[in-house]
Amino acid sequence: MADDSRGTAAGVDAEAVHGNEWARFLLLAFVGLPVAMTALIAAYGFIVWFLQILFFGPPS
Amino acid sequence: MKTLFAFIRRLFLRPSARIGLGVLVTGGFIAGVAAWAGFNKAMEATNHERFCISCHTMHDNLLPELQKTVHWNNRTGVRARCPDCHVPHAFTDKVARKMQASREVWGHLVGTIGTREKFKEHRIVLAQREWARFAANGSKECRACHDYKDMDFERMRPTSQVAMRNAATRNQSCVDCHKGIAHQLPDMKGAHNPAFDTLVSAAAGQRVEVGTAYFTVVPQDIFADEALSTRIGALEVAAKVKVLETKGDAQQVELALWRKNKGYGRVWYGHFGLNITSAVLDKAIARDDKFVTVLESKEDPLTGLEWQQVAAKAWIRKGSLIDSVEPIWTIARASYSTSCSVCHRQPDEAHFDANTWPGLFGGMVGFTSMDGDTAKVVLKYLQTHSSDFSTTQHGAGAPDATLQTARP
Repeated sequence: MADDSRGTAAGVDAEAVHGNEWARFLLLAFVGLPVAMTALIAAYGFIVWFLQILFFGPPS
Repeated sequence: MKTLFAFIRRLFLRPSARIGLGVLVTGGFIAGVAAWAGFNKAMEATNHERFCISCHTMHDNLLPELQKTVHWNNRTGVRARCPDCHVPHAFTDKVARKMQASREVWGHLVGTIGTREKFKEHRIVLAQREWARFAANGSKECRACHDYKDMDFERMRPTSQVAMRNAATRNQSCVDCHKGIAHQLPDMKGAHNPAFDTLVSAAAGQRVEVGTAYFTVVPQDIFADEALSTRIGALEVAAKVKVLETKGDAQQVELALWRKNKGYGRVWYGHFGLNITSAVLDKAIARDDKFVTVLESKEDPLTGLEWQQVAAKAWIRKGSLIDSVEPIWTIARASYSTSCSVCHRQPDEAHFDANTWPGLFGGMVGFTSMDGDTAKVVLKYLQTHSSDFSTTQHGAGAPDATLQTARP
């Protein structure tokens, strides 16, 4: 709780940001990134499948 | 959208003011481990027999069949589960296969194979898809357990030894021969081969020009009149005809074929001296000079029979002609290579001549599950790709490789 973060408008804003820093960290680490990872792997799977349909044929 | 980007930008670029770097990294590390463990858990859960048979199609149709085979129950207690054979084991192919399963989920939702009857009818499509996969990867999943390098050929039955040693030298895919080893083979007798559907729809969209030659995609009747009321015979599949005119639903075509000048001369062939049937006429019309024009007569030196080149005009129903015969042969080739290799290695098409194939094929086709139409197409394919038409020396189908005792 540094002194300069109180009183001014910028301070209130910064306080609000700092206050939910933990919430944002946990949300990103345990929800956001795992969802993004799953989505990327699924997209990778679909791309490989479509390439198999169009060019490669079934995996050898 | 813009605010979302701004939010993500701030989230990643503004340094943390309250949480220590170590805590962030440790937290991220733990979250990463947890996420990867969860991902693997999900991959494993969806790769389990319980998961496969939780869908009623699998539970009602495929499980009871597997339960009758050695892959379910045997004296050593080693058993194969659905994904052991049907899901690739390597990461990339596995993920691709799991995404491909979205098609199966869709099929489940719309009920493509919702009932036993629908399943049996669709089975050939599913089987061919899986056979193609095994053919491409050399039955990799089978060979996770049964690999040639670990086989003791000495301990096999002598008849099996011959086949297995040959297969091992060629590094042949297991499913080339062992089809229907864990599930019933698709029953195609009297059934309809869905591969023909694509041909029929291609023929329906075919632009037909007068004076050009086309091929029939399905066996069909021919008529004397444009109203299609007087039937005078039938055309076989892949018969070559020349289109003369189109009127409403009917098309007038010209047949220019060969026949043996003997008896009624009802059966018309595509080539001189070769028994490749293209059309069969009714008795009443076959000797009618008003209908049939004889263009040329020639004696076949091998049989002493007189062959006549004949021409006739007839009407057919519109929409069953195609400009290239190749799509028909593609279907025939697929049927030939899947059906005939179940028991033995199929001979090269050019290993026999066109007049030898019908006898051989007729003797063997009863052991396969081909329906009538497919059998006709395959025979015609074999005849038109036989040694009479091939310019290359037949190679692959040496007799010792092809003539083996059938699998019990």
